[in-house]
Amino acid sequence: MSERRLEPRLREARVAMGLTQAELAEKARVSRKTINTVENGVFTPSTTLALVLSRVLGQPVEALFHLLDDDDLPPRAGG
Amino acid sequence: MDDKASRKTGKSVIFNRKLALIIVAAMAGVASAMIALFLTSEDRTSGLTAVAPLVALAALLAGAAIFVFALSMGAAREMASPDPKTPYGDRLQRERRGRLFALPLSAFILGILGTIAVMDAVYFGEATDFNWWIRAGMILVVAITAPLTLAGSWHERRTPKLRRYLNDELSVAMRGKAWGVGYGVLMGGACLLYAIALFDPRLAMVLAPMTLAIGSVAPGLWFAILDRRADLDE
Repeated sequence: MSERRLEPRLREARVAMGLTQAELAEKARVSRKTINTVENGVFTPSTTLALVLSRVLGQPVEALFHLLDDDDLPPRAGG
Repeated sequence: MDDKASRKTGKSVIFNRKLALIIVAAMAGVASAMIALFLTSEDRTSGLTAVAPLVALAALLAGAAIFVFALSMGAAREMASPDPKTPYGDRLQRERRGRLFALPLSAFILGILGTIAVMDAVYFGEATDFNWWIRAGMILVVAITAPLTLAGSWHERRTPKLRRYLNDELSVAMRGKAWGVGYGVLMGGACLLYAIALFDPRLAMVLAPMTLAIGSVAPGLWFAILDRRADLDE
């Protein structure tokens, strides 16, 4: 089974707009911690939240989140 | 209200809230002392012992009233930001994490201390007095309050603003993971307890409250750990 991972590009989009995590959280009506975990790839947001972030940042969802397939992933050590 | 006035109001509200919590703790202490006095006294018909249950009830009622008042001050605090540098939601979530570490751990220690000694007596059929059963039942308080602390109170869901910070998508996801961990710990403990009971029923009886307590506090502690991790900028 192929391994897939979500690579968030939220931080780049936020910084490009000159927003802090707290400001983006305020605009998206979520907690700052939610933004922090999404940016760090710790938490995968729901479709609703992804669409809200996309709307707030004025970018399509695909620009904020990139799906990495096993071909894109770095090879495992010894594998 | 300008920023300076807002901070002043916020600090005043926090001071009052802390003062109220200290009074509530003192009331709980008085109630506990009165109940202990009543339960351990040989003669319950004279002196302070005779009125101890009433004093305990009065202390509990006063404590509950002050506690409700302290909760209502939370709404005032919502309007008054004492430290504009830290986002309001971050402070709320930090306070919740503190509660989730402190409350289950202290309840766990008190529950274990209060219960474990009486389980031997229960096992050998010596627990004939009501006092023994009160002490044996203390662990149930932990088993109920620790998960309720994680589940959150009606206060946390009262306004959209509080819901946004304390019952947001991330909190719900972390809570789900924490419940899963709690279930795993509880089931693991129950299986281990069952195995011990097959060989040493007395030991299993003594360990039963501890298993219940560990299973009860595990979700809250796991949530607090996840919450701490979520704060880290990796």
